Amino acid sequence: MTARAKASSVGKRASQSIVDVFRREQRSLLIRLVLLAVLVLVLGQSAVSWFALDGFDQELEPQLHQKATVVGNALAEQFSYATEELEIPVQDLVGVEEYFESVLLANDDIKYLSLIDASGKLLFVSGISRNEMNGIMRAIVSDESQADSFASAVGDHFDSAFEVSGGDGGNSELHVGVSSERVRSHLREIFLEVITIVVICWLVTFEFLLFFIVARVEKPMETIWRIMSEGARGKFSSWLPVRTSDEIGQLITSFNRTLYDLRHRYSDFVFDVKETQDAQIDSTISEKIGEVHHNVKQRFQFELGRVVQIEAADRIRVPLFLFIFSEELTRSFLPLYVQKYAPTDLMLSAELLIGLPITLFMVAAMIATPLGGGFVDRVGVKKVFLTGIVMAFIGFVGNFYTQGYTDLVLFRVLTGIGYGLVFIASESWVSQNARRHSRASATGVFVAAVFAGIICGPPIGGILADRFGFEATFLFSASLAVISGLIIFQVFGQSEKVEEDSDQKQTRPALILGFKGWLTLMKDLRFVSVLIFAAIPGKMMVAGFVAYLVPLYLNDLGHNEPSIGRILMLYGIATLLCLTIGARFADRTEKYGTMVSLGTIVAGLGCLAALFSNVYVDPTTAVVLAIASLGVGHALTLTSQNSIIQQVAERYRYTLGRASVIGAYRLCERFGMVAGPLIAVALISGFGYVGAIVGFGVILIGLISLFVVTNLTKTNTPMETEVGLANE
Amino acid sequence: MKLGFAYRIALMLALTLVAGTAMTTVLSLHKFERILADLLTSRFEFVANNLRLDIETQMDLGLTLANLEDINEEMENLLLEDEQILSIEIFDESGTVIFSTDPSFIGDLVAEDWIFLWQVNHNKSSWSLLEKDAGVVGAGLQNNLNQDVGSIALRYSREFLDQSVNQQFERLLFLVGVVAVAMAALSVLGCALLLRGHFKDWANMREALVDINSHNPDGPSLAEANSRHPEFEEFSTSVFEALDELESATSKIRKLDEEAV
Repeated sequence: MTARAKASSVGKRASQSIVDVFRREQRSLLIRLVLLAVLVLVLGQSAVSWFALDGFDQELEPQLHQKATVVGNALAEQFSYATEELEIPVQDLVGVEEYFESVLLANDDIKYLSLIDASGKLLFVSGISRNEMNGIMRAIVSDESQADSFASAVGDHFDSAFEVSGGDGGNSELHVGVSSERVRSHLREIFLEVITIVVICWLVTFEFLLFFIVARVEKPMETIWRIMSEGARGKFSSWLPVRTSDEIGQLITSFNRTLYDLRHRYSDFVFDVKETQDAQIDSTISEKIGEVHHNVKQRFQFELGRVVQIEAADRIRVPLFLFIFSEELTRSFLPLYVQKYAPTDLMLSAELLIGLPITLFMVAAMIATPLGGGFVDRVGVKKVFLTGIVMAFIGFVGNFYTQGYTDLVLFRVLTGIGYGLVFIASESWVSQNARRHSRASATGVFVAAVFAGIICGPPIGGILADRFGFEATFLFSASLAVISGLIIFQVFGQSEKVEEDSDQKQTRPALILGFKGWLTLMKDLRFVSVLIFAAIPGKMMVAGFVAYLVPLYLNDLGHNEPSIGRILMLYGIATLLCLTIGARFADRTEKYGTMVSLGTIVAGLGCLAALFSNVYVDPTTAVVLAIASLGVGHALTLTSQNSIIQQVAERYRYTLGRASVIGAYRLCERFGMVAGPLIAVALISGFGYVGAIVGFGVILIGLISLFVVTNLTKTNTPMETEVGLANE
Repeated sequence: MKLGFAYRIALMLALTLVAGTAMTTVLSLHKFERILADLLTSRFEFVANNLRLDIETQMDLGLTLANLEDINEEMENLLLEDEQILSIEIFDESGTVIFSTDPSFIGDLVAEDWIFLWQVNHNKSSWSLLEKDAGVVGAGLQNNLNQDVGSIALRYSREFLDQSVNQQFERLLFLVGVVAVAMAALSVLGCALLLRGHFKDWANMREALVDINSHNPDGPSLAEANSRHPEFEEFSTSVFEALDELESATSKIRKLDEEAV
């Protein structure tokens, strides 16, 4: 290594350590702002929800009394007829309790009915025991505050009394107890949905906050720090683009002014040198002046050079989140929307016709992913991303204008192609811009954006569809896709370029991975082991366990749809919460294979907990535990899996193409999506729901054991060191 | 318009909060409307079922639906007892109104939706739907041979329902506005508080750069920035060295020029 290269290397290391210190500072800034966001959102939402629920409660309570009044008046009239007109003493009435039972059966909000004679003796009661009714009577009598009111609050119900004319024996009293439980349970449901919205808001805020901090603080400050580091070594040739007028923008302007001043003084100096040299007759003096100038140039660099742009993997986060969010908006109502247009006069079953556009969407995305990979290697991420956005936009708008089933299918396929292109373009961007020692963290950006979109989309889509209709929601999705495209256009700017290494020019990878390419990949033990023992089982769990088995089992356990939705949401939230921790740990240790094993074992053990359902834990808790463990497990394994695949992709970047390798991986891993529901069906029919959950756990642990064995046998080919990386 | 960092973050938080609370409001109001409609329906179901029992008792005695006695009077009484009830109709299996609190409806055909819902729910005690201007609750009628002979349809005013929902909407809209303003203020305050160290640091660096530009190595801001950030000190030292170098090189050149002269 030459002295100059050594110095450059030392300089880079020093610069890197400065940047590391700076990053830690920015992280603490982000954490503080996130805490502020949580405080603001929780406080604000709590206040609105509390006032909303309180107002609803106050409005609904009189309706319960009204119901009691209607029931009480009707029954009292009938009893009065019997006692006054037919002159039957109230205590001699027959079949009263049976009659009460029939009324209670038809009106589930009426808790009890009772008849009390003039002396206060309880004659007939239904819905509660005599002791309970006597207790209620005592409570009403002793509570003087309610003495004058027509209805009394007792426990969680209201008691209303109605006079029954009793002739000579005096007037009796009919008591109607209305339960507020039904209203309370509805309000509880609203409360739970509010919590869901708070979580979604928090995720959205976090995405934007992170984007804001990265774009407006972290990257400009990192650039400033790099410029300072260069300046300390005598290089003043850079300048920073100013994109904002806030505090950071002002600081950048100040730096640019300092650098401009220096360059201005230097250009004055150069002018002086030239003028003085030109005026010389003696060439030795001229040479000496040139020497002085040369010495300055040797020590310092002043000429305006590059515009400092630091590209970062996390720039893709918000546009990707918005795009995934836009597609996920339609997920909650798509089957209903398709049902609206599905022809009824065909030989095909309605279920098949409803499922067809959804399946074709997936197939289109699946095919577009490896194809898009080839295009990314040729034309760059930005163009492929924008092409994907345009296709998805046409698809969404097409669905808005859909006239029939064929249109609908066609536009869904177009959206699917767009989805596949955006997906592979984003992943390739992350792969291109990930630094060697933070591969998992960079991948975490991609995974987090996808998961946040998947979590937030369906509930909000459901609300939008409910209020504005299915078609309008498609239009909303189209607008979000456009915003995503605009951000990509803005964020990527002109800086993105297709890699034009001379080596690559000579051996340009094929657009589509050919047979030889596939053979090469299938011979790569790391690629194959991650794919078969971790990636495919991971997708199998998502499709077979989360999307298929759990909803069926929870439904069987008596949970309603919103409750099932909330439990399923746990998977995404657990993944998102643990993703960063898992990625950082993986990057710090650089043991990506170990992290993949650890994550899969956590997921597998979570499923095995179902063995104890009905013994130590109730079945719902066992499912919750399995879902949460799967989320945590996937958080630990997903980023490491992707990191390993990125390393493999780096190795083949000049022969097969980086994005093509990633595309091939994504294509293959989707077999897990196909196999998942089939395996779930087989397990459920063979062993029942609990047995199926345990079965999934056993499959995971079995496969990951094979992964460990495979990786132990090739310890001589270290996973993380052999790759020549572009982003060192 | 120049927006500071704290204001930008506050704006973002406030916008997310408004979007979130708007979603909460829309969703809660929708649920509220359903619960209220459910409660109203439950009340009128009882009224309709009571009327059904009376009618079926008469039919059990051998009267046909068209020949029922005192039904009009009973329907009138129910209408008077509850001001929310708009009308009560009884229609036969063909959907023709045979009794109504509004005599002008007698002989007319009821809406197809009513007949459909009655037929679909024939094994249930009641059926209901919410129309644009009114809610409808029905109770199917069966004779003593368990044959469906028609249905009662009670129409109640939606005014109360819509009014309640609108009142809640206006109340929540005001609340969302107040909360958004309060939380935006809290965000600005919070940002200013949390970021004051950073703001001070950045301002100090800006002033230090002014010191550098004015060639003032002893400026107080520069000293502070240098003491806070060693990397800034290295940068400023290098800048001054460069300036000195340029100055000294310029004097060398002038000297050489003078020597030549």
